[in-house]
Amino acid sequence: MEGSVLVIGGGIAGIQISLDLTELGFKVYLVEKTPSIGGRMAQLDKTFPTLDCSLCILAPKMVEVFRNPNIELMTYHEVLKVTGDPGNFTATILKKPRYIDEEKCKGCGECAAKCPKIMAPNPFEMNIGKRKSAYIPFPQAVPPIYLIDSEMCLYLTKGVCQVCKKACPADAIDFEQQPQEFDIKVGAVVVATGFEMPAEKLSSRWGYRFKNVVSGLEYERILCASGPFGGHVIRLSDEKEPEVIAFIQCAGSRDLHEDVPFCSSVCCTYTAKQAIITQEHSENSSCYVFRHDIRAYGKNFYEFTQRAQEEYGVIYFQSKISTIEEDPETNDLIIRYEDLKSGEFKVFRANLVVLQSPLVPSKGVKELGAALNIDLDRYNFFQEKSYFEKLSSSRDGVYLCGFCQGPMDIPETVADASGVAAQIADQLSSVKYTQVKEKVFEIAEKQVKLTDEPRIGVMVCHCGINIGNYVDVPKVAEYVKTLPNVVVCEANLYSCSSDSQIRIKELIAEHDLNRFIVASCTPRTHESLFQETCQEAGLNKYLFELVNIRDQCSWVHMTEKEAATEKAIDLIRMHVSKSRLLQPQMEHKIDITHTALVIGGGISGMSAALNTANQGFKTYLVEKEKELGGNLKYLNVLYPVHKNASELLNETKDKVEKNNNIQLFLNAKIESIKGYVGNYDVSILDSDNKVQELKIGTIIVATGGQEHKPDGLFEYNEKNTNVITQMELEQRLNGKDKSWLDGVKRVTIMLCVNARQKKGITYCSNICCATSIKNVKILKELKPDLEIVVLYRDLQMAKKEFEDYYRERRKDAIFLRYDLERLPEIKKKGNKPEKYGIKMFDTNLQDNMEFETDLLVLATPMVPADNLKELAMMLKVPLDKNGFFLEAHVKLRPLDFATDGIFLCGCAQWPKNIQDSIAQANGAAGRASRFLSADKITTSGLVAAVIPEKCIGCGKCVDVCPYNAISLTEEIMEFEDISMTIKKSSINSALCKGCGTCAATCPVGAISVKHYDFNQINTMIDSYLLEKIETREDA
Amino acid sequence: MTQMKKKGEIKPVFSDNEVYMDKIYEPKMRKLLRRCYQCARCSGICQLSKVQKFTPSRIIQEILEGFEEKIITSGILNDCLTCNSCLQNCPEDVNFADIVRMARYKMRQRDAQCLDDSIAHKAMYTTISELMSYSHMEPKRDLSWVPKECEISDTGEIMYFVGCQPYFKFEFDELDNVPSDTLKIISKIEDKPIVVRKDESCCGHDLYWGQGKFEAFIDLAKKNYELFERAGVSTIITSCAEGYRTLKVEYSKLFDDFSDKFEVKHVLEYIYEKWKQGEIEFKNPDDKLVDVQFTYHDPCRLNRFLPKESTLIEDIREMFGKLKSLGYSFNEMEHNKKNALCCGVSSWMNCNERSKALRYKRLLEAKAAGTTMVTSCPKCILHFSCLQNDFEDIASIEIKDVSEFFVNLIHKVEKKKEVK
Repeated sequence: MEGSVLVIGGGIAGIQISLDLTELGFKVYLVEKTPSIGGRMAQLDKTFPTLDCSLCILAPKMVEVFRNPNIELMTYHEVLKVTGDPGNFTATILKKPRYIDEEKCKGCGECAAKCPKIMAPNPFEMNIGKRKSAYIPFPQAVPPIYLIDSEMCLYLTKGVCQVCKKACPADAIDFEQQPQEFDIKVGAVVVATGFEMPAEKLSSRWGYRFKNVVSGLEYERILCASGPFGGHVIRLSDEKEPEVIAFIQCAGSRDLHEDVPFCSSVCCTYTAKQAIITQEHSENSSCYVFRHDIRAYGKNFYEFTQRAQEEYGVIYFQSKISTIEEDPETNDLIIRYEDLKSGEFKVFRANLVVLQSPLVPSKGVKELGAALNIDLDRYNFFQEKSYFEKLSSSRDGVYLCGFCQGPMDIPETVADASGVAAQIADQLSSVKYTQVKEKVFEIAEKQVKLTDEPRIGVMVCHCGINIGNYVDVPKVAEYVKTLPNVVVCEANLYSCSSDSQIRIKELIAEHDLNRFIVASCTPRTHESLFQETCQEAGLNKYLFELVNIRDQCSWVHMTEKEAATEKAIDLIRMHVSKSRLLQPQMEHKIDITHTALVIGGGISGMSAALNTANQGFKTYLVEKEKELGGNLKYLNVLYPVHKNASELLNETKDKVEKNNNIQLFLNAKIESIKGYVGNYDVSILDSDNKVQELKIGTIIVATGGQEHKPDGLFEYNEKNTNVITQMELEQRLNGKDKSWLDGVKRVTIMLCVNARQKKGITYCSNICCATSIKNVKILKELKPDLEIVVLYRDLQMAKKEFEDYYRERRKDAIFLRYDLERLPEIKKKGNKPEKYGIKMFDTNLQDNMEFETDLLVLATPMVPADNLKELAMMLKVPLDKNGFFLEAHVKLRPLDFATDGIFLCGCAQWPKNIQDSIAQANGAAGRASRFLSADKITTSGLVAAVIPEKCIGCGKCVDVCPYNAISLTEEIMEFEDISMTIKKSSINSALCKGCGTCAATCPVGAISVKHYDFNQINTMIDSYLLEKIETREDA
Repeated sequence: MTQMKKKGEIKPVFSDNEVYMDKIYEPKMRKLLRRCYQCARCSGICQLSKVQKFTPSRIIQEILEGFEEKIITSGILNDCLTCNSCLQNCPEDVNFADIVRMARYKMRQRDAQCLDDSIAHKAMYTTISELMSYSHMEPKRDLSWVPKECEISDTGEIMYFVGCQPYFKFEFDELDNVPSDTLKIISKIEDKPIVVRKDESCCGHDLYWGQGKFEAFIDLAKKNYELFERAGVSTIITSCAEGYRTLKVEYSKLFDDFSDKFEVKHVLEYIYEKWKQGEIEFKNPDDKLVDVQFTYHDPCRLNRFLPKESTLIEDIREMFGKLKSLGYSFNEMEHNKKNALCCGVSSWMNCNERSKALRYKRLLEAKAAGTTMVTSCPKCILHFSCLQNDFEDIASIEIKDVSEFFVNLIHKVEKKKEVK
């Protein structure tokens, strides 16, 4: 078996899988067909619902991939074929010619600068912007190297030019490159090929042919500060700022005519995001959204769409527009639509229209499916193995992740990525750590004492033309040589090249250096490289210092060479001052207990426990009830595949009970949790009321949710047996006795009961619509002549198969739509048999309706499980405003808590269906087992430390620490005539991330962050302010 | 003569008509409409809604909620143009026009008068159609329009299905040239005599779409099916968009083997294919260059009623573009192809001010696009020409059938003799 994995697709899915896999002990080949990783997320302006800059939160992960020694990055490569069996696949890879030698290219950009003016449409900018034929897809591209567009290049098409070849200082241009094929051996394959958003098909029916109609992804680029218009929202016809912008949702999706019979799941939420950002960008713009159903599928997403309206004044129209025409004089767009709230036909004039066109599987999925021998479903998404195993493809050992399996947003993609990594860790658990390399340094670390005189070496980088053209590098180098303690200073073309690394090591040895500085680019991408070079030369990596004279100097002062040079001099001088005070820092290894604790024995908890146990880790599963199963116990049939809930429950329960690595605690309660990642002490009160003490490495929270009981609403009370909740209907359907249906002629299911309101429960619980659609079918099968009425506001049918599911059900029920402003009135009309009168305004019909029903089913939202606060206190993790657990980051860390070592999944995080719960459970298990897979946890040297003599035990640091790394310890202090208990702050370096919040908060300066202590910072400031004057006076 | 048969009086000619009815009629309308998710896109698209209150989505919802009877008896569905614009834009492919067709059948079973009052020209033409459907009625068509140079036959491979056009000449003269020009075109290209039959029956389009007389339609279809078999033809060419649609689509629904046995082509499609195959070329008579700005009106039956995969509307534009070298410049009207406006009347239903307004709008668009408007549906020609009598500002537009337009431009390419 091979301990390596092939990941196809370098978007956020592929990136997350790769990073997780290496932490689980696997080598990764990451193949991306475009020249850079980053995928669609790199094209987005901001991400909902936090409005984080998309690239800003993605780029660190891209860089992490780039720097990870166990990820072999193959951009501009394609997978041609995969043969073999799980554990032993052979993949044939095609390397496409970049015409630039990636080993030699340093990304200086000289080739693009000199490339004659052939402006090619830029796919990264959705073809709105242009680029040269020698190019890098975007500034933050990873790998940061250039390539030549063979279809546009003058030399490759016409045999003339070669200007770039002459211009390249690194001699990297190679027009002789040919496509290459090669084989790699891997144990598993992951497909994560994402989506595309073609709008061309919408020309005729949706007006995409007009100049001022753009697709959602095009608008994303228009909004983006680094986009073709620098973030100024302008329209294409006259480059003027549009005052009225119309967003049209479902343009071409949920549309059999366009062959997109599914809902793309994410447009409702990203429309709200785009409208909000637009309102923020320009005061003169007003945004209007044409929507049909609101399907904001995900945590707090519905509330986000409400925020767009309430806080930002975005106007929503309930309508799928009828026609869109262009006013030939102004290029404005004339939209004709029916306002479904009032039933009136209206005409709307917009300056710019954004079509939220369907998100469909990427081009080439059919070919890739054939190459991998995996099935596609009827929508051309990759077919999952079975509905509840969405992370596996139809072929064993080949996994699916992200949008290529079905529409989903980024958090779900990230959660699934961790789930895939976990399943691979399960499949290949016997070959973990067989193909990863760990760096071993041959030269022993040199002892550097505080009293040793600093001997500093400096290297100043030209970075091709990036620095060299705007900063006088030789002058800088000459100046640096004059600084005290600088023993040697050299300038070079590329400090990051491999010969430069050799040179650094030579300099350290030759001059017996005990500090080293490189003045070049950003620590984000290059610090670890130079640190490693220092370590190879026997220098502690914390004795290295990187000065950024590019991003923050040459790039921002391109027109002022002298000032740039002066600033570079200042920056380096400051870092030399700091360097004198640098100390070697130690990275400690902490032992961990290789056990997992899963709290909650529902489908999520059981799935998580099975995964960690199958990976070989002892897992304790704690359930408060007598039996495993959670909510699944009460369900009848599972949508949309109509599998019996009991079947899934028994299968899973059976696996859990038979698994030797799982120890079950039923009817048990967690008493206390102490300790930290890798080393928790957990006390559990078991079913015999005995306290069990467990040593735990990592904790997974899977406490689930429960149905909200609408007491007193819509005749729901103890007296009325025929007004029930959806869960109560499930239980009735599940029971053998169906006499409750006798005499029932009409059933009314009312959706959104006590949900999506202005006050109280404001969120959409995502799952009730599909549940009621399912029950329509089940009821109809039980009693074919039953009349079923569904009262709805919007139907939440996101996800690929749900629209079809809903489409099929429409024949079995009458769907009446109501408004939050005009809630239906329900009154009891009779007792034996029970009858209820319903009065409502039917917005579809624009008329009042009055009818009677024999059975009323109220679909209420899911709310968090009881007593979560107590558990949250024990775990020291937060709950959100709705009472669900709050994850570390809603976008990119949906399964983590900010505190290391604790993870969450299932309905504890947010209401979700069984498929998502299982996928998330695997993801949480994957995140957790990264810790368990490692022998020890390595702490960073860059942590905060307390000076106990100064600490007054006020505890302010404890309050502010986002990672729960600080606690107060108590000790008795004896004075002459009194003894008292005093408190001292204590920082757990295993949990500390070195953010420095505590240091800034401490009122007595008792905390400092290593490597960034007060002396070091102060000396930099001094050096800037004081020595600057001296140098000027010297000059 | 407009007094139609009441419910229960319709006697099937063939005993197996129920089998055929099942193929074209679904009594449970909800079953056909249930896919609708009430986006109401259709209601703003509806061409009729621009001249009167007509809201397809609301009509659908009423039927879904159980108010079918109210809709049927209100007569509102008489007004629908069956232009298919709604289906064209419906995300769920809800075929509203087809529902209207079936609803009209239901209306007929309840109150025939309500439907009959809406039929134009005092139902003369639909009555002729209906008469032909009777088993004892054998049409004996006058073939004096057949040009002398065209050789016709009773049997053969290729048939020209003439349709109703010769019947219209008693009231209108706009279509007089259509059959003869079409036959001239086909005869020019084909070597063998073309089948034209005296006993050809009406295709039944209007009874099927407009008057809700499905039994009569089925009888007509059967008569024609048997006729085609008797004549031994394999290809049937029509010069009428409605006839084309009826033969190609509706007859194939009725008779499982129809499309295997007979290939149906509109003459425009036929011309395009021959041109693509290099058998014909376009030349001006005497090679004189002309200067004509022309446009094309897509009739709904040869547009939104075509199967999704059909490329015909693009194909013919390719052909029109090539005529530029002869001096015919093709210009699109503001609404074209799938978005083309309707001529305002369908299946002899509802000629009134509102439908005139639709026609007037269309002709103004045509006027902006050129001096000549070509189309491929005789009914469209009739409706537009009629309106030209009412409005002077559009009277100058020359309205031509494609056969009239092409007849003098088509030249057969003489095959070069192969040198042995």
